[in-house]
Amino acid sequence: MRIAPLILAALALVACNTSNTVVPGTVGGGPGQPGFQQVVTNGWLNSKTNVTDVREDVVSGDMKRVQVSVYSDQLTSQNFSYRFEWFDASGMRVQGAGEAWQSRQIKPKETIQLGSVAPSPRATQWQLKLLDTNHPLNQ
Amino acid sequence: MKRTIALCSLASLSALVACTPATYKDSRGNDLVVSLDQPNIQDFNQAADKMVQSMMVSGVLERAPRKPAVMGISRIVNDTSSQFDTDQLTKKIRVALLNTGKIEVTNTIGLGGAPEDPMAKGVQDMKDFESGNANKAPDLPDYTLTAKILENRASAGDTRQVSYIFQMSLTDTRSGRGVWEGEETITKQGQKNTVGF
Repeated sequence: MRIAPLILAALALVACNTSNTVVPGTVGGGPGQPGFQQVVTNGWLNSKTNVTDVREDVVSGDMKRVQVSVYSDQLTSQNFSYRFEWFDASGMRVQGAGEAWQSRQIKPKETIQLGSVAPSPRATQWQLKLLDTNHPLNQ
Repeated sequence: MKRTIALCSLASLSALVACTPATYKDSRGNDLVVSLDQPNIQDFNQAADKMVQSMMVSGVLERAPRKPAVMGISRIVNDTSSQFDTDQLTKKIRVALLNTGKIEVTNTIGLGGAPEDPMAKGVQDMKDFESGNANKAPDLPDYTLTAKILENRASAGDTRQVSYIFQMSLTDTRSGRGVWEGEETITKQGQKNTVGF
């Protein structure tokens, strides 16, 4: 009986290990700053990868580039993984040849930048997926 | 008796947990095996992705003499202690560059005069002969790509660390000068191979 609360707590933590998503917003903050929307399903992850700024520009003539700043409110170094996904104007996925989840470490109270360049000039929309790789249960 | 049943149940459960059946995994996912003794598929993915993005950000292909520019694949050196086909890196880069629409890769001119696609070379020669252009100058690449993969190892106590350093250069064949260079280092640390980040 005494371990029941522990099991329930563990299950709750496992259930919380979901991804967060960032997409460009509809109301921008100025040229090259499209604004953003965060879909937060994992509060713990959001506390160490809270998006504070999104910037966009164009490189190599016609390839969109995006840079997302994330801030950690934690008091210890944390790890997380992320992946940018790109879509064409119709919303169809445009997959980059080397596109893969990448791992990053963020120090306490630090802001870091995550970036990506569109895999093709056709890729005009993006979304950023964030996933926890340093969940309390995985320590 | 109850204790025996409980022990047997526990042993059976342990056996079930211990034996993980083989399953398919997303090759671009974050729960793949991470090895300390060889580069993994995710290392090649990450290196290729970063290299191509670096090349795009540099804007070098905007200064190409023609669009799309033509690129030849030159020497690709694996200088690590692992045996692997360097196409695991170069193919991803070629695919990514082709998808940008800014570059095309020649398959009829290769390192040491050996075309990558001998049949394409033969057909090209035959077509040139039939059209009376047998002596025309070949379509030479505007750029050549070279790469080297290096390995750096270190350890402290039981903790091992391995870094794979991916170096790549793009040379303008008009001048012979390097017009873009990229380096991506992927470092892994731990005591044993594991699954996931």
